[in-house]
Amino acid sequence: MDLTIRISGAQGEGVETTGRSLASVFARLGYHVFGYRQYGSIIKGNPTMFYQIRVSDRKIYSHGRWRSFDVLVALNDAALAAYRGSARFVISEREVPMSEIAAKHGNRIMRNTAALAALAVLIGLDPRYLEEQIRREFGERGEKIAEANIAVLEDAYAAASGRFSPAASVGKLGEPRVLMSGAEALALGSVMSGMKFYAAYPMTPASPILHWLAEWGPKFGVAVVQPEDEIAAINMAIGAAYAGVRAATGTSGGGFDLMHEAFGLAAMIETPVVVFLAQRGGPSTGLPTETEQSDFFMALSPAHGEYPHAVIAPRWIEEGLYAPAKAFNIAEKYQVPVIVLVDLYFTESLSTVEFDPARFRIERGELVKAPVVWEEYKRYKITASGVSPRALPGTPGGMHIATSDEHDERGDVITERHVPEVRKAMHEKRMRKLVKIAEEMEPPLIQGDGGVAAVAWGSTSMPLLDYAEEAGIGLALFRDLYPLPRDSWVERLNSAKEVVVVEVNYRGQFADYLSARGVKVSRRVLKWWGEPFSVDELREWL
Amino acid sequence: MKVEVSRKPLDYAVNRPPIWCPGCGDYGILEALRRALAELGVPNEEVVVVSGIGCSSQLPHFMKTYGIHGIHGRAVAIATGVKIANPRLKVVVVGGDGDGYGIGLNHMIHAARRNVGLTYLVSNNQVYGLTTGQMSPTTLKGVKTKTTPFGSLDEPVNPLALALAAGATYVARGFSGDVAHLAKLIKDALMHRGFALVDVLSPCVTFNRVNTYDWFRARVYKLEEAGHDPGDYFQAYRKALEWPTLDPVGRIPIGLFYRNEDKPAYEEEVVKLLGGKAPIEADLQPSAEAVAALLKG
Repeated sequence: MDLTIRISGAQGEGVETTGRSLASVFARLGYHVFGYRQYGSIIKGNPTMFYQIRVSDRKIYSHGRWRSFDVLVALNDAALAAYRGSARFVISEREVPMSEIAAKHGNRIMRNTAALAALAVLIGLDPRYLEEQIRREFGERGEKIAEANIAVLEDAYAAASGRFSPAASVGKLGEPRVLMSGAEALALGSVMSGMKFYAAYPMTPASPILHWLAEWGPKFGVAVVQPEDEIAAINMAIGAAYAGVRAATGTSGGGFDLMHEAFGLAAMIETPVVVFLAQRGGPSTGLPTETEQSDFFMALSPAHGEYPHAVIAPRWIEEGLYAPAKAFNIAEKYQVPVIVLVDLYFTESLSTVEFDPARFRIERGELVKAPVVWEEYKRYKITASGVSPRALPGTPGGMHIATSDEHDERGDVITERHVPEVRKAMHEKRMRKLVKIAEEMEPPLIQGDGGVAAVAWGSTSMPLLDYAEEAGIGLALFRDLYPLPRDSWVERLNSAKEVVVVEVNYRGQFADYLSARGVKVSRRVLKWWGEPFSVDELREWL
Repeated sequence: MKVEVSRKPLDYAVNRPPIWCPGCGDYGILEALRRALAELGVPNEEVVVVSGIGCSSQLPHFMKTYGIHGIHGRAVAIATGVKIANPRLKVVVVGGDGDGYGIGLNHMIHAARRNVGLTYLVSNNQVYGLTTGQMSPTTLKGVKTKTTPFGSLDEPVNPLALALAAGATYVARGFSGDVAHLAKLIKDALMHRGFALVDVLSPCVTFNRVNTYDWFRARVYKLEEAGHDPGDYFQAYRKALEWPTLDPVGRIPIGLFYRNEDKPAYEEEVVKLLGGKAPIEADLQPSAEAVAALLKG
């Protein structure tokens, strides 16, 4: 079974809640679920926003198709007109008087519940699963609202039973699955990785990470701060990291623009900090509520000067749980800033995931915990690996000043005089870390061989994985983007008949990056108008 | 049993001599900070001195403590992160008027309203020193600098009035020509619960030929000798307006303008929200029970 349902209506009228409830029902029944939301930068209005829920009895990675779907649930005429041509089945006021039934029980807003009841008839879903979901959602807010919704559910179910005959049969498949958004995966993954400080200024599509952490963080000892701007956010995170806790910030491209200077500071003072960079359409304010993968070049070199850092782009939502663990470990072991590069498609989509708490291992790197002799301690000692043991405030003898100026092994400023030998050695020490970090970077996930190899990074892996399943083409999907892993992946890619790089940007940034490293890119498939690739588009364009 | 170790100002010094111009006001601030820490007997390893960029922001390098010499204007934000992560540390922020009242002014306002437990020492010399003598946010109107050859058109900011309006709970002004008085103000600031601003009149002997030691000596008077009540917010505000807002060339009050110990510090409230443990003390990984509860929710 593989079913795609699009619920569409005006923004601010509960489309999102309805979509999420439905996804939750399927997840509890043991199905694999993916949820995608398309919306605009407006609080109330935009009559054709939609939530697209795909449900399957096999593992799926993406929302699937754009151009055709199984069921349209249209909550207004505009939505009906916009999408009815693409749907096999339609549920609207014309089939079931949803608003009327809802109004009868107290409030027109409950027509979302009526719509779900009609959908239950159409897909052969026992309405008691919807009833359970209503009780879970409204139970705490008051029995009366729950009861009113259940009355709507019953009436609408009866009305729809006379109108539709079941076109499918959706029963219980297995144990409940965990459902979460990409943002929630990153947030939970960070908590599991020992993050204890998060500061972020609201910005779509990174805000849901902040929202989740604000609610759940304190239960796990995580201090969550909403500062005055993004500059404060990253500087606070750097301060917290210097004090010895795992710290992060999160933002989108425009906010990250403001963080660049501090990003370089973190690299210079060798303080580990993680930045969740959730891309949206740019430049400037761009497309605030739509996805893009156009900040890759920025992530490669955000601040001025040269310095070591790492960029990791989780490829599917479940990987978002574990990517923070890697980011924090790299950050602390090598005392560098690390970017976790995601996008709106990733942070805001919902997916069922396998969550295994045993998979989180914390590696804090070289920390000085016992007292040291101050006269001998060199915070920035020149070492073969480039990493120098880090003393945290409070450790007797470890006193030092971490400075943004070029400095010597003790951390003393050298910039009041010309000492090229110190600059040379210290710059080399920092840059050497990239060699070691590269050893920890995983090569791309390469599937299939021979014919076409479709290459992607980050979230574009999601529709590609689903398409490859259907078409049997080869894939090379990158998570660890910088520094690139050292492995024979270039040769493996070049042995394919055709290498097609698929990205959500105009220039083909990753294709340029790979070309510069010797990959023979034969074609670029690009898209830059605010939505991720879909399986049906890939079928046509690949 | 806690062993009391008596400390001297020089215990916080490093071998390296400061690189400031001879006669710079920053020497007075450095000496006053060391004295204040010594009198309180704070262990060196429990002090973190954070600065931005500028002449006075070099100060951490002359302290035998932990510290960050960060980027221009961001010291207060960095220090906020340090203090929240580990509230046991004494976190001192130092910087100049350009760093703190120009590029970084918003961070001071927000740290003040949050009441983060920081001691913020601003070396206010009314000029950009390190970049060789341009107008600063506290340059008095009409003063000639490299960037205002015909006299500054800008009204100066009033940092004390701003801090009071923002909700700072300890607001003081010292003079680096009176180290003993300044050391007392810093000592009280270090003991204060919440955000403490100590604006320090700190002459730049190279680039500011107007606001010299003599200019200040002829004008400063001590609030504590003038019957000022630091518990009176509105009186503090009136005093803050005396200079430079109402009378840029007349008498200049120094001393403690305002102090309120009743408001909890930000980091205290964070620790309360986290169930009693500071971030640095919390268990690194969540317990299995906590994770199970989360997945159920």
